[in-house]
This record gives sequence, structure tokens and C-alpha cells, in this order.
Amino acid sequence: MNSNRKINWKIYRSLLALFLVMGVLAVFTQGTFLTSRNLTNLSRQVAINGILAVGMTFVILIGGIDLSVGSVVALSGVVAGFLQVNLGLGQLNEGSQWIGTTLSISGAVFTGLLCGVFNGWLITRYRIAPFIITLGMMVIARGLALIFAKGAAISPLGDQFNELGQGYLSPLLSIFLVLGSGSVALVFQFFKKNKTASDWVAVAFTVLLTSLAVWAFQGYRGLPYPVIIFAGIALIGMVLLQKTRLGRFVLALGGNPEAAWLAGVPIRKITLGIYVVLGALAGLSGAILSARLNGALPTAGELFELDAIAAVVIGGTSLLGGIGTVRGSILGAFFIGSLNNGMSLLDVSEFYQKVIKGVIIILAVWFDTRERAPSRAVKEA
Amino acid sequence: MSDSAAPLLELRKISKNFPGTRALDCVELSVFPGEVVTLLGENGAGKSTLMKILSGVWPEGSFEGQIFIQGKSVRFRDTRDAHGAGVAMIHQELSVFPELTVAEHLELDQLPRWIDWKGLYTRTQSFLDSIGLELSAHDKVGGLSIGGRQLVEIARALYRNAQILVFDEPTSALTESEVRKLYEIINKLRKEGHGIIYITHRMDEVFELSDRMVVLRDGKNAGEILRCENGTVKSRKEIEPKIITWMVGREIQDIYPIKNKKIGAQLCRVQGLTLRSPRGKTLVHKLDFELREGEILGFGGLLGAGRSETFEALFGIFHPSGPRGRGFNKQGNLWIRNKRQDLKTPTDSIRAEMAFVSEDRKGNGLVLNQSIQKNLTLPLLSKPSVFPSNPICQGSWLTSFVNPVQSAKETQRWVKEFKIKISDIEQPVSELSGGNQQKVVLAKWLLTNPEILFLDEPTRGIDVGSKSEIYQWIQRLASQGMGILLASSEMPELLGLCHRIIVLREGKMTSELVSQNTSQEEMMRAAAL
Repeated sequence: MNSNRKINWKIYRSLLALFLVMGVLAVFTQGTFLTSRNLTNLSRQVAINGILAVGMTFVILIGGIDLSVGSVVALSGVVAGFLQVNLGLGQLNEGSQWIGTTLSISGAVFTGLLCGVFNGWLITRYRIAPFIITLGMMVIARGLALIFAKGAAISPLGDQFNELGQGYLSPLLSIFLVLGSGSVALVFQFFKKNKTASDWVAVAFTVLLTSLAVWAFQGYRGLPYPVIIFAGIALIGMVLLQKTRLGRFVLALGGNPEAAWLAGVPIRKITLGIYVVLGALAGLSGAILSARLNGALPTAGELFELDAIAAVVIGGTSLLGGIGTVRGSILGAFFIGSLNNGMSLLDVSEFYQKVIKGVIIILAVWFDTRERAPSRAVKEA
Repeated sequence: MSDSAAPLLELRKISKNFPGTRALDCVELSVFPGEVVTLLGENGAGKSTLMKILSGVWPEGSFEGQIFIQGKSVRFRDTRDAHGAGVAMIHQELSVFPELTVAEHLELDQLPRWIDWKGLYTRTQSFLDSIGLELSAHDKVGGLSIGGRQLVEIARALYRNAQILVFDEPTSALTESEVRKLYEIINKLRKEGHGIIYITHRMDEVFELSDRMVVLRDGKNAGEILRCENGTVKSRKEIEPKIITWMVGREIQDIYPIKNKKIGAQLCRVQGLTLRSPRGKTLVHKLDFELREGEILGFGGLLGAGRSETFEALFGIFHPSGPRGRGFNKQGNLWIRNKRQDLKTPTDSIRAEMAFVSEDRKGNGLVLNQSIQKNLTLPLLSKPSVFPSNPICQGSWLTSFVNPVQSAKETQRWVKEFKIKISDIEQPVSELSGGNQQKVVLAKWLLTNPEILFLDEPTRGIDVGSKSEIYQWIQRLASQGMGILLASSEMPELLGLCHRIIVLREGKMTSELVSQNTSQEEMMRAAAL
């Protein structure tokens, strides 16, 4: 087939756009943007939004939305802080400190999970629009966070707990990890039968991204823990969506719920499950955020839901459901993260940052819908 | 009505093409003042298309032929022009705004920016009184019964001074007393010299109301008869056989392959199947039937007789966790191979070796924006591989991996088997033609290797070539021992394919016919009388 010779640039469009933005920022910051130190910071900043965006991808794919994630991040952070400070889990002695840390993280994740159960249960059982339910949850969770924290920050947290947000894998191990996963990806790509020109482009990008990561993580302090967590979650998300029965079901459910139902897709179970998982991911993000700040703020995580939604949408996922990829959302998260980071480096006032970000989100989506309009074709790997 | 009077409306040589089909072919229709013309025909005969042309939905230029109103040629660019010329449609699905009052509905298209409310209400109320409709101008339309809303539509038409009123199956949702009232109003309009076109499937109504009956078939005039000629009223017995022959007219063509002769043991038995809608309407009423191996059992009946609902209820589509299952009440028992089965959801049914080719490809048959491969393999994926027969996904978890090689292979196999014309298995199904889409739907269900196959209008809206291929398949599957339940609104199709036919009317079984010993006329009588 001669289509093998044609390179499907569409898949890499978001990646190219990301490289373009990074390149422009590197030029404007006279290289500061591309230093190891800045790239490490950037990746750590992206991690939380990225984790939320992976979960949000699934929610949007099934035609839903979750506005509560920002507040759930705050609430579960506060719960972790409460366990650390008020219950003294952060002050345990050396030997049993890990128990306190584990319990605190689990507490945060469990809190998020409960919020997800609440969202998913109301949405599936009573067929209320996800927009409304999660809007309510957004306000409820924020209120609960303020109540538990008595309106103030809870700090300081335990040192070991803080590692979750502030710690690094040593540079040497980081390089091993990055090179290792890069090689695994390459091996997979090489063993693919009937390689097309597009596949060789994929190989090139893998090499490029791996080198960039090695550059970033060897030169500063190594891989931040949140980035490792994000990478793991992103990998699981990608595999679930692309390779499993669940992924096929999710795409079908979002594309046409009636057809999916008729074909035996357990609609209610999947919908509920996806909201619960996003809730749990928001809980995990809450723990990471409070660990990074060494304190749980009941006002943390504001507008996180919008950043996550923006990342998903910039990544090419249709808000109507049924079309989209996890990979796109990850790129979207890096796109937004790069903009935030780059503009801060350039000393753009925060007021202007907001305007610019908004404009870019609209442009990205406009471009994407215009591209998609004629055939509504979905060509995803 | 006298012969000398000029016709109020004349449609001359109306033809309209849709891509691939000729929906109307030189159709003629005239209506005289003070006459009720019933327009009859099977589904797809062209009634709706003709009425859409008359009401301006299909504008001038999209069809051939001419429209004359009171002898003058008219051209409609849109529905407004048709209103202006005095044509009004009383729709089957009433288009009303629940929050507006009756008065506002009457003047809806002429409301000024600043409304003189007092004037509006006195004006409209006196109009309503003058035409004798028992409506209050102040009532909100949302609070009225369906019959009441229909009166609003009629009032609206008359308020606009419409001379020609088209009623499209107006009684389908009315109660007995509302129907009586509607007849009274129609009789009154007739006396006042309005021209009325009445579309219905129900023979009782035809004889209750009409002065003339016009039958369409396959987009052509099939016949026309006056109720009353030379001063004598013709009896129903005399007219009815003629109408029915005109309606079903065409011969069964030999596109139907020879029927499967190997009928085996009982495959499934259904007893007392009943389905009630959330509003308490009985959609299917105490249905009993059985199906044997290799048998094709047909379900006939008019639109809304409960064919699809019977199938959907059996398959579990109305389970409350489904997209439109809330509030439905389903009862009845099902035995498969003499084993009592309680199949609640489509998932259960698929696992019990059933498959469902639905009527509405775009609605619930396919995920249009997704690839042929993803569509084809979807139902099989909901069968966990406790059945060793699942080649594309081993393991019964939601997170079990799909085998991409097998998935592509199975897709290729069925694409080849059905001669589906595609460029690539990753092509979205929305890019395929109707016939090819239908083959994808059929293939995706055959991939699950079912024992019982539900086919709901399997050939609706597809070309003759694909149709005959699908017919071949149906007989081939039956000869392999599959039990097939087939619902169709096309009687020749039922007669040409099925061994037995169950005719439904308003959710009840009116007769069970053996297709060798029956005729379209007998089926029509069972469906409509």
C-alpha cells in the first residue's frame, strides 16, 4: 500500500506544537527555559495537572465532565494535613514514620475516592447532568476543606510525607529509569511488523524525548517523585484506553451510548468507575500538592479543574465524547505547563498570563474543531 | 362537492428524487372544497414526502411538478410561503411551546415587539368562540392534553385562514372521546368548504371520514376511489379489498431466496411478555410465542404496533441502567432450550447467545465516528472468554487486553465475507453507504456466533443489491440452525422470508399466520382492522 509511505503528521501535530512553543520560549528566555533545572521544575509543576488530566480524559471521553477536582484536591490535601498534624502521624519516630506517611496518603486518596463515588453515584443513579452534580461537589468539597482546616493552613507536615512532593530520585537512577523506559519503547517500535514511514517518525520522536528527559534529569537533582507518579499513571491510562476491553467500551460509550448499551457495554458500571478513579487521582494530587507546599491549604487547587479540562481539550479530545487520547492530554498538560512556566520566566504579569492562556486555549480548540469538521474522522493509534 | 367546482388544490406530476431512489414519480393529487381526501399507502410509499412538498419543507426547485391552489400556480420557497397560500399541517408530533398560552400560539408568527396583551386575549378568545373550539386563550399549552394541543394546532391553522388542512395520523395519540371531537371538527370544516387531506393507516377512520381515497405505492399513484358516486354510497365491503390491493399491489419478486426447510427443536419460548412505558401506556401486551431452530419468525404490523418494542424488551434494552430504560415495566418469562432465563440487560442476552440487529443504524446500531474494526468487534468484547470462542479478548476483566492481531483478522474476515466496500478497517463507519453500514451491523452481531438473532427492519433504506445479499444471508443462517426473529414493515419481505408471521396491533397479537397459506391482504386486515 502506498499509504505506508505517507507520514501521518496529524498524530504528531500536538507534539510539534509543543516543541514549537518550547522553542519560542527558549529563544525569548535566552536558553533559561531549556536548562536542566527549569525543565525539572516544569515537569514537577506539570505532574499534578497531568495526573488530573489523565483521569479527566476518561470522564470527557464518556461525554461527562468533572468540575469538582480542584476542590477535591484541596479537601484531600487537608485530610492528609489533618492526619499528619492533628493526629500526629507526621511526628512518629524514625522506625514507624512510614506508617504515618502511608496512612496520610491513603487518607487523601480515600477522601478523593469518596467524592468520586458521590459524583458517579448521583450521575448514574439519578441521571442528573454531570455538570450540575460536580458543580455542587466543587462547592461542597471546598466548604468541607475550609471546615476541617478551620479556614487556615495546616502545617508543618512530616519530613517523609513532604518527600512525596519535594523528593527526587537520584540523577544516576533517573538516567537509568529514563533510558530504560525509552529503550523499552524503542524495542516495541522496532518489533512492530510492516513499519510505515509514520512509525519511523515515532522512533525519531522517542529518541528526541528520551534525550530531552535525560538532559533535564541528569543536570539538576534527578527525577522528582511526582513526575514518576505522573508517568506511571499516564502509562496505565494510555494502555487502558488503547489496549484493553475497557478502552474500547469507553470510546463506544462516549461515541454513542445507545449503541454501546445494545452491544452489551455495562454503561453504569463504567461511568461510576471512571468518576471514582478521577476522584481518587484528585485525592492523590491533593497529597502531592500539600507535600510540595509542606502544608495543607483549604484554598489550594483553585481552577485546577479548568486546567485539567483545558489540557484534555488542547490534546484533541472532543467534549462531545468518544474521540480522544490520553497521550494528547499529557501533551496538553505540558503545553499549558510550558506556557505558565515560560511566561513566569519572562516576568509577564500574572494578569496578562491569564489573558494569553485563555486566548491560546480558544485558538487550540478552534484549530482542532476546524480540522475535524469535514469528515469527523478519528485516526488515533 | 360537485364535479363542476374547481379544485381547491391540485398537485400535478410531482416527482422527487433522493440520492439513489425516486421517492415520488409523477404523483397527482387534487382536493375540492368541502372534501376530505384520505391519503393511504404503506410506509415509504411517499405520503410524507408529498406532504412535505405541499407544506414547503421541500422548497420549489427540489422537486419536479407544479402546485395549483384555486387554479393559480404557486411556488413555495419555504413553509412560510405555504402558510401564506393557505396550507396548514396538523402534525403527528405536535410542535408546541409548553410555556406559552393558547393566544400566543395563535399569533406566534405575528407577535409585535410590544404586545398588547388585552387586545391579544380578547381577539383570540372571540375567534376561538366563533369557530366553536372549547379552548381558553389564557391557558398555557403545556397544561393541555394531547387532544387539546391538537385543537390548538387546528385553531392556529384556521386563525391563519388556512383553506387546506393536512392531518397526519392525528388520532394516534388521542383518547376515544377526543377522537370523536376531532371527527366533529373535521366534519364542520368540511361543511364550511375547507379542503382536507387526511393521512391514516386505520381503515375505520378511512370509512368514517373520507369522501375520496387516494392510494400511493412506491411513489406512484396506485389508485383512487370515491366513497359516493352517482348518488349511491359504496359499502365498505366493496371498497376495502380494492384499497388493500392497491396498497400492497406489487408482486413478491424473486429476490427472496428459497426458505430454509430444516426446522429443528424448540429454541426459545416467550410467555406473557408485557411492556409498559413510563407513562403507563401498554406497548406490548401479553405476547406468547415460540421459536424453533432454523425457523424465521416474522413480526408484522403497522408503525407503532409494537414490533421493535417487543424485540427490545426481550433483549433487555429497557433495563433501568440503560440510556432510555427508566420507568419501563417489563414482565414475562423466557425459556431458552427449555431453561428458564432471566435476561435483564443486553449484556446478559449477548451471553445467552442472542444478537440484535437494530432498526436504527445511526441511533443504536453503530458508533458512527469510530472505525469499522472498533464497531465490528464491540459486541464480541462484551462476551467474556469463559466461552472459548472469543478470539479477540482472552480474559473476562474489563482491563483484559484486546488482541490487536486477532481483532484486525476477524474484521478482515467479515469484511470479506460480506463484501463490505471499504478502503481500510480503520475507516470510520460514517463514511460508508447505508447498505455497507447495515452489513457492518449484521457482521458485528454474527461475530458473536449467536443462536437467536433479532432482525429489526434489517433492510430499511438500503439499495436493492445489498437487500438481496442480506436476504441470502438470512436464509443461510437459518439453514445453519439459527433461530431468527424478523420484524418488518414491508409485508412482501415478511412473506418472502418467514415461515410464520405474527401480526401485532397496538402491542397485541392479532393473528399468527403461516406464510405459505396467507396473503398480504390477510396481513393488512390483521394489522389495520
